[in-house]
Amino acid sequence: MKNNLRIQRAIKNITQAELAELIQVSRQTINTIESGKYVPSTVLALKMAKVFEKSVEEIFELEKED
Amino acid sequence: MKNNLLLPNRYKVLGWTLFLAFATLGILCMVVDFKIPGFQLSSNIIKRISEDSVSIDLFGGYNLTNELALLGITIGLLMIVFTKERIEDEFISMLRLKSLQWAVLLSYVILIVLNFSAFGLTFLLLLVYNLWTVLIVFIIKFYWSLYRLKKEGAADEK
Repeated sequence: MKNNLRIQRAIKNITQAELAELIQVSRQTINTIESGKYVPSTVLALKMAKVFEKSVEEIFELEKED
Repeated sequence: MKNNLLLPNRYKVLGWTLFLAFATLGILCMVVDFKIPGFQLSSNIIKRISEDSVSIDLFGGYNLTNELALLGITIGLLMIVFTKERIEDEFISMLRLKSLQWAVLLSYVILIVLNFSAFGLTFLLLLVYNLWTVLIVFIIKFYWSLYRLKKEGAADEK
């Protein structure tokens, strides 16, 4: 699964730490999600979508191998 | 995700303190045969049952310093393993699970290797140490992963 979290953050102009704070996870978690190492749970994905005021599909996208 | 088996973060310091203190006691106990004076089972070693028969209490007078050290180390290590991180989120939970898998696997690998490389009393002694392998490997793996993530993350933050 790929995501454009980094871009969304840039648009909203918030850091990883600020996003982490908003959805109550650690900054490392945001970092591993952005780098594609970790696929977040549905709850977390929905929380992020809420922060960016987007739908989940606009941030996360399935890849061929999924 | 709630994990109700975990203690609050502040217990981590207590866990480390317990572990270090009792590990020191254990090492003293092994290396210089240190025993806490008077900390022993009652020492009526030989009891007379009747005129010509006596019963021998094999463990009478046995000093319990050893046992105390083992108990302290185990509780200390358990406490370190079973406390929350400052921010305990789903990713940390996954790290926990992965580290636990590693720890269980490695513990049994050690057991299998020991089975064919140590015999008799040595085997038993090493089995005692193997009690803590799961906990110790978990601690090393878990904190190593966290440390590496922090390092990678620090370079990546914008």
